[in-house]
Amino acid sequence: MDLSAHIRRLKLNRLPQTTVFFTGAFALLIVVVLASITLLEQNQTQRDQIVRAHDAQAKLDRLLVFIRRMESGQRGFLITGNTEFLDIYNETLPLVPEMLLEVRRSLWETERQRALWSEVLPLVDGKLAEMAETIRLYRAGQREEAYNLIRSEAGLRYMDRLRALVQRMKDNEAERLEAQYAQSRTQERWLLGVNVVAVLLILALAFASMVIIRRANDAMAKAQAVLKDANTELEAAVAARTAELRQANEEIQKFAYIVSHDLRSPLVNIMGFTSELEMLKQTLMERLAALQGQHKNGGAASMSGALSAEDQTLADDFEEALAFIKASITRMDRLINAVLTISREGNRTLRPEEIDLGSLVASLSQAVAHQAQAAGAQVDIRPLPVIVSDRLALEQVFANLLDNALKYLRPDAAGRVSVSGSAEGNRVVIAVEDNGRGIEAKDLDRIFELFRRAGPQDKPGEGMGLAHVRALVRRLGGVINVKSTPGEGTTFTITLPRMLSQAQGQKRTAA
Amino acid sequence: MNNQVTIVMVEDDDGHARLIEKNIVRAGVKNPIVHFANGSTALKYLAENGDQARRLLILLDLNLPDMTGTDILQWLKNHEGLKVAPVIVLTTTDDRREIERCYELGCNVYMTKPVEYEQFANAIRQLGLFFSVIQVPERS
Repeated sequence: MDLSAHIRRLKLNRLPQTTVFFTGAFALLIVVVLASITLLEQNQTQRDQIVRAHDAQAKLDRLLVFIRRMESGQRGFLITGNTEFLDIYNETLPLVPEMLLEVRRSLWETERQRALWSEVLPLVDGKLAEMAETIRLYRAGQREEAYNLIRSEAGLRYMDRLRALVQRMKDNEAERLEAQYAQSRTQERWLLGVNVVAVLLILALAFASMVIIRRANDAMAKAQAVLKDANTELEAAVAARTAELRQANEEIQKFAYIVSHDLRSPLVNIMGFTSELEMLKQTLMERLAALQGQHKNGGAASMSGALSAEDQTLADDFEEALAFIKASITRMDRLINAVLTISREGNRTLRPEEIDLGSLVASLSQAVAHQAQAAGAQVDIRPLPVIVSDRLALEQVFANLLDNALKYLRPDAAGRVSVSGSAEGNRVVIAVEDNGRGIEAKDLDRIFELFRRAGPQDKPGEGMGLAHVRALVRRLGGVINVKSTPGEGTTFTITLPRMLSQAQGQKRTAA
Repeated sequence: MNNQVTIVMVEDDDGHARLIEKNIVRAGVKNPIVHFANGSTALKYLAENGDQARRLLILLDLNLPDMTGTDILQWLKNHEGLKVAPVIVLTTTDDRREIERCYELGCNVYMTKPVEYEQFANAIRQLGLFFSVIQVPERS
């Protein structure tokens, strides 16, 4: 089945819905968190209010305490006349304005409280003034006036009213406290609620995530299974296709072998009987000459007679025809042999072994040393890597390339052939470079074809060397490339696997 | 070679047969030559004449229409009366494995037919000369 269809079936396209869900859930979570933060902040202000209410109550009490302390100081002084009592009075008096400010600051900002406070201030002023007046009178020696002022109970009234006012204000603050506490409790309940919601939301999210992850994993596992199946199918398809190709290749090789082999048989006949014809011709011509001689000599047989000019032409034509037939057969025989050689090479089992390419190429260049010397050329072998491959095939490859390099040198330049190579990863690259006559760009593909040759046909050859080389290199699992500049030189580059696998070396046919 | 010896030629190509015969005769061999163009008639003849006192020398082509020459070779070498008869394989095949196999099966000489006629003729004439010097075992 089509892979994309599989994937569609897995509903991986649910993703947008999932995204919407998660976005919504996270937005909700953020709202909850924000609410919680707001509530906490509000709670903080509530707590401030509570602290301030407590503070206000305490300060109101202290204000009363201050005034009472001053009052007791004043009374002590007035009763005993001892000025030590006035120390408390004098110490506290400067603290009162500050105290008043503090009380004012900590008061609940309500209309009621402000109204009460505005009543408190004149009372405090009045009380302070009453105390100051009695002390002044006493010091001025007017004791009775001072006592009378006290007896008038003006100070007492101030104090009673002040106490009552402060109590009311404290009650107000208590009310504020109560209200704030209530509000705070409500907020705490809200906070709790919000947090519970948050926790639930997180749990829900976690659960949803788990479900989604699990579903995604399942989908992934299914997709992987499908992919695996597809891969297996693909592998099987590739294996089948490879087997088919191999079989086709084997068939072609078998075919080439049989054709070339069976072509030889009629060729033997053609050649044989052509030669027989030649011999017959010889005999015929001799007899013709003898007959002509007999005719001339008046019946006496003679074998030494020469042919007449006409008959000589006949003999020559005969000879020419036979010569063409024989030349063609010889050529055909060579071509058939070439096909046979290549098809046989394809059938040979490769034997991978460790080969030092340097010494392999060196011994091959020894074999062509006389050829190089005759051409005035030099063969330069640079360091070459070690390879695991088939020796015979490599020998044929490099022998052919060296032979070609030496064969197609330029007459006007000193020949130079160099073989260089390197190991690159699991491959080995070898270049055979010459400064010979080069190959035209249009011929670069053709030269690898069987029986095709390029350039001036001034050297002997069948046009099978490079075809053979390419077939060999391919069998070794490699590739051959050529680069050439006409008139400058040619470089053949062969890339081979560093290790020829045993499988590749297996005999491909049982022919 | 004793004239009592009959040369049995198994060769599907009549042209080849004729050329071989001509060149053997040219080498001065006068022994009778019996020609078979396929494996089955050859086997029939060999089976009929195998037990007679007649001595045989077999010229065998490997590529036959109905069977391979190696089948015949194998048959011959398993035949009680004929296993001593010299067998000369004369064929177009110069495949090494094929040559090895023929010698393994007990052929006495393996020759490849050269396309070059002079070589061919020469080879057959040499074979003819060879015939004139070799001893073919007599039946007991």
